[in-house]
Amino acid sequence: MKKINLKRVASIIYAVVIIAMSFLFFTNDFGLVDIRKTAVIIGAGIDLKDGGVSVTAQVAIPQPSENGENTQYIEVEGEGVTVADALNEINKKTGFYPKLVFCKLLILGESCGGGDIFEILDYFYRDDYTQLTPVIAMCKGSAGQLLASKMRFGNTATVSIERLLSDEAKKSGNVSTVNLKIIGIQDYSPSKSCYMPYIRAQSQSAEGGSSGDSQGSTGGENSSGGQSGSSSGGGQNGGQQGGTQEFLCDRTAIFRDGTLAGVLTEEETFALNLIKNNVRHVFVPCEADGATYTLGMRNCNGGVRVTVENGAPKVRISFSAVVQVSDVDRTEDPQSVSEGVVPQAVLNGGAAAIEQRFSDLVSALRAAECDALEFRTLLHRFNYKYFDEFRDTILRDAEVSFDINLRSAG
Amino acid sequence: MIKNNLSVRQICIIMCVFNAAIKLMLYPTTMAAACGNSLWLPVIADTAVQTAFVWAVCMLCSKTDKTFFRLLQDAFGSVVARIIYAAFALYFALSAVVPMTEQQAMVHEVFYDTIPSLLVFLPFFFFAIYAGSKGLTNAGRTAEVCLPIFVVTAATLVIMGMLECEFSALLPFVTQPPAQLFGGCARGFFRFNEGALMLMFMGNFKYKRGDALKISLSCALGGLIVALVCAVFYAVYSDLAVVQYFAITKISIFFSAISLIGRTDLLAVYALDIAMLFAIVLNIQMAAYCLYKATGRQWHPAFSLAVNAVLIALTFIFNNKFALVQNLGTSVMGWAGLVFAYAMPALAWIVYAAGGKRREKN
Amino acid sequence: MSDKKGALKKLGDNIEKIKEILTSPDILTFEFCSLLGKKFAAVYLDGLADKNLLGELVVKPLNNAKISDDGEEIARLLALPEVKKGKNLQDAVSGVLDGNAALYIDGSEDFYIIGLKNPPGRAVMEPPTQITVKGPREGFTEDIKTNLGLVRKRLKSPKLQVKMLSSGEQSATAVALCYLKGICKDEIPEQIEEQIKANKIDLVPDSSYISSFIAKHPRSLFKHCASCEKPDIFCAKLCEGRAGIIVDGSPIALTAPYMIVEDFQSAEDYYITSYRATIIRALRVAAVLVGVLLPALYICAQLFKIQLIPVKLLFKIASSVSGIPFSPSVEMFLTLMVLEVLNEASIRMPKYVGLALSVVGALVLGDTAVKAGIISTPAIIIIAFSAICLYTVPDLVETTTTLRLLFLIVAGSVGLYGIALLTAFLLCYLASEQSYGVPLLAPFAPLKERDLKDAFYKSNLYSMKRRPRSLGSSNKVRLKSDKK
Repeated sequence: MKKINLKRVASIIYAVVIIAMSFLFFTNDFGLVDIRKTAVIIGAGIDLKDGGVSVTAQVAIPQPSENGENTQYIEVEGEGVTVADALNEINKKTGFYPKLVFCKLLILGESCGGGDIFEILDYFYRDDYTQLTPVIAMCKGSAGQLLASKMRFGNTATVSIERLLSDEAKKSGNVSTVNLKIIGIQDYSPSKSCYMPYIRAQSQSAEGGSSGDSQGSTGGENSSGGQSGSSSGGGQNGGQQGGTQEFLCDRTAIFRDGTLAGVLTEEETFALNLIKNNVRHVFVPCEADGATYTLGMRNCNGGVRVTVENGAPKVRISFSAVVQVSDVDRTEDPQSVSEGVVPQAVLNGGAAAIEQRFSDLVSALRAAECDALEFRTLLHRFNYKYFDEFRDTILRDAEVSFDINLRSAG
Repeated sequence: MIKNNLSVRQICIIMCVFNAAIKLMLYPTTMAAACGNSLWLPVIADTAVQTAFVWAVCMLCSKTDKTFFRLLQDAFGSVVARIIYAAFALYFALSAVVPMTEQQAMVHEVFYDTIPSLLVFLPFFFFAIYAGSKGLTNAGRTAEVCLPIFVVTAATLVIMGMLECEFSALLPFVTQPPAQLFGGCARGFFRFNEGALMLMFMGNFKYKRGDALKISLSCALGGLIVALVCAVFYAVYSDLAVVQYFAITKISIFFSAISLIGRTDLLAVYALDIAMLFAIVLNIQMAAYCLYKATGRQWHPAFSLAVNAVLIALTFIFNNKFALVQNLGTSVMGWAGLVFAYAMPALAWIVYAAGGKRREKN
Repeated sequence: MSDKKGALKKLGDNIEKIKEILTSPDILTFEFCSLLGKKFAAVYLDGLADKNLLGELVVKPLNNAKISDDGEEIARLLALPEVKKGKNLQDAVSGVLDGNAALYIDGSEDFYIIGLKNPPGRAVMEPPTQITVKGPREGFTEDIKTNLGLVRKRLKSPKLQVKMLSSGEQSATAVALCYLKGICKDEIPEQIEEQIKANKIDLVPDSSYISSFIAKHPRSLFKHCASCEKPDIFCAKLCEGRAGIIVDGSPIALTAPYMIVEDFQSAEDYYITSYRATIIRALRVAAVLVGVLLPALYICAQLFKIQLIPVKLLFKIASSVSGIPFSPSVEMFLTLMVLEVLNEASIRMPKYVGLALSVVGALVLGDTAVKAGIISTPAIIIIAFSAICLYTVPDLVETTTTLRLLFLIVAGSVGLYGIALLTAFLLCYLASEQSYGVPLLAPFAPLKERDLKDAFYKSNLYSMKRRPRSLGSSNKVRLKSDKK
């Protein structure tokens, strides 16, 4: 029998492989969705509509330009029974394959608060090609219309909201920025509660004056799947000729078992952020010595500790910071200003102000039966043997104490 | 001329790097599904048991220079030794199936934005056939090449993950019922075949005093790396870990710089995949080596070709049957692992001890 | 053609006989006689032999001498160091072809080969590649003797062994195999000599032919022996335990065994501080990786995984590529081809056309192609950067440019997984390749920690007291010093 020449066989195989690969290389025709066929979704809004889901995607469409980038943004709406179905409709209408990998913002319309938001968001947790990194928020009114708003500073709504919900803003304690992962973990946890920023749109007249909260439904309805045709300057809000919008994210929507349980006020949101978020530098107004002070606080450290003492659960909310006086509504001796030492009375005033906010926050959460401070989760993690005993009562019955430790910067 | 001799250092690296790399794909997720926040515990337990068997084989290496094949040949004759090695060849080939399907799924998810066809995965076999035909010495050298790649990439990904994780998610410790933890151990059991690998290395390296400790510690270190990744993975995703496949590719995405510089962590994942490829191919190399021993012929690329032909057939059979492969892995390969990675080292000792008594009589 | 039969007594017969073999018109014969009328004839090759020396040091002394028939006396009169007695006609033929002169004496069986070789060549100058800012600037020339002189100048050691070999059936090219006895493993020069002798080829015009002869796998994409143009590097490599090969007619010397890491070491690394050398070395590795992989990764990012690109950059790229009539892979392939053509043309073209070429290439082709929307700006930037990166390691350029094309095709057809597989394949291949028993990937695989001092990083001189372990030299110590 003739012996097989392995080298010859290998050469033939190599040749065939190279020809096959060259064919694939030059044709590129194996169902690829390359950069030119992709709709890069930078933000998406979800509303419930007629028993289905309406997804409004803010899509970036880069245009050819000699001098660098020229990207236009359009809002495309798709409807379906689920988010996946709605996204598929966007694909059908535009021919662009919607990719969520660059989606940095997800806004839930007010209509989503009526039911379990995780039923709507299921697509994002299930799909292997999406990430859990997008920042999520709820808005007053329609999310689709919010995204289509024309912005005061010429940006798209997504860019503006993204800036408001950035990590830097989070560190100032003014917004409770969370992403899909965080709310997912919180909802899966024993606390079964989560929170997210609550966005309100504020209309600005052409002269620049504020005209109060917009309900987000003031504009004309976009036709289904219609493109609002906005440019990189942001979306037109159909009903507000010449008017622009500003967004406020200083409130927080709280959820219990995935359902909207309430909206925290600005003060409560601030208190929540002091405890939950790793805030860096915050300003707290307080009354002391008959004057109103604004205290600048840094090296902030907030936390919650759950213990069980004498058969009863106890919650200790602590906060510590280094304080300096940023402003006061009276003239002070230059010597004392230069020393920078914050008087004990002012520190006490600051502590009292913070304690009051914490107390209001706990009351609000108890009223909404929302365990956003994760008492139950902490009980589960650190006092597991008492978990079954107190899991249902800890939020309502636990004795809450506050430990505010403010130190003067000087 | 293909060589099959290795240095102790190469064996240590194989035990540590390949042991860890092959388990970083779906294993953490399956453990999170099985044991929740105690996912690291079955990993440690399985590693400890496997390390004990690796140590046992190493101790046997300290007593004799013979290969396992030679031991079997001396005790039962050439035919039995060949049959056992043929069975080992089949075991190693089948050991590659689960990691291979995991790799296929990982490639589809992590390397491509849209689901590519099966064709994209098939070039794996070109590499597998080539690497499989290169013998154990080549496996040792590639392990040395993989060491820095693995260390740098895995450390980068783990550190990126650690900066954005909450370790208290791992609390409370060990609250799951023992049955659940044992279930976790059983589910991951089939992934630990280092005892069988060590049997094949037996006689192919020069044993020096202290080598048993080095090799066993390397094996344990590999397991600890997997346990650490599991812990970080759970600390990043907490209860969401069960729905996050391919842990190592996911733990770094919340690192704050990623949003600015793009998914550069994916480059580390791709580099790590090279180590994973070599770890998978090690099973194919071992299968080819066993076939070479079983047939008693000269080393030939046909051994690798035969092993890969089986794997290609299985790839087509199990295409889109990911869950089935996992279940088969847990059940069938679990038992096979018990025989080849646990019973066979024991058999090696028995054969050696019996041979010792014979020698005393003579 | 042999023995004494070849050398006839009559001068005319001798000349006739040699002319029968060397029929070319550039083989000249110069006949002259001494004062006593003794006839001589010098046969030499016009252009190779030095005619001035012939006149001054051979013809003049013999013309003025009163010479009897004694051959020994004639030899004494020649004021040249290289005079040897020829044995047969073959000696005369090879001597003449080598550039020397054959001196025949009327009435005598004896003839002399006089070393008058002076082939046209250039002076010792700085080599075009391997340029250093600090350190010696001498480079090898095409003359083997000069090159050996440059080596001897640096290695005044009795251990330096030079084996003169000949390769090429027709060219009879001189090949000098150099090594340091006791430092280089004995098997290495023996194997090299064997392999050079085993290859029968007509012509050996350059050392690259020898490089193919001594490679275990001549078809390999990776070379199996290193090349260098500088005697200082050559000598350093001999001192590490390698064997060196100098080929007549080639300014590039070879050294073996070869390890890939050698190409990442530059001569200058050893003349500057170790910190700077380490940084530069890391930069070279990074540059080669970027140069080979960047075009492939770029098309993968466009075709398969856009997440790899930061979003703002993605928009810029998307702006540039929209409207380009080719797919990303074809666009990149075309750009690469343009670069290769420009590169090839710029090397081959006369210098005075070169300037025009660069204008046409860079401005007309590049700028117009972008403006016309045929090729996108990022594609040009990436290919240009890749080309620059690859030239940070010039010795590896042949391999890396081929690899770049391979990776590009794999990336455009299979995608990122193809890149991972091809990388793994290359690593597996390299791990199995050896050059004279030394693995190409040494000292990384198999790992020799001590050798990493001059591989992964460049340690200071006092940390490298021993020769590389990978080369297996029996004489291990190269620096004896108390300093640490």
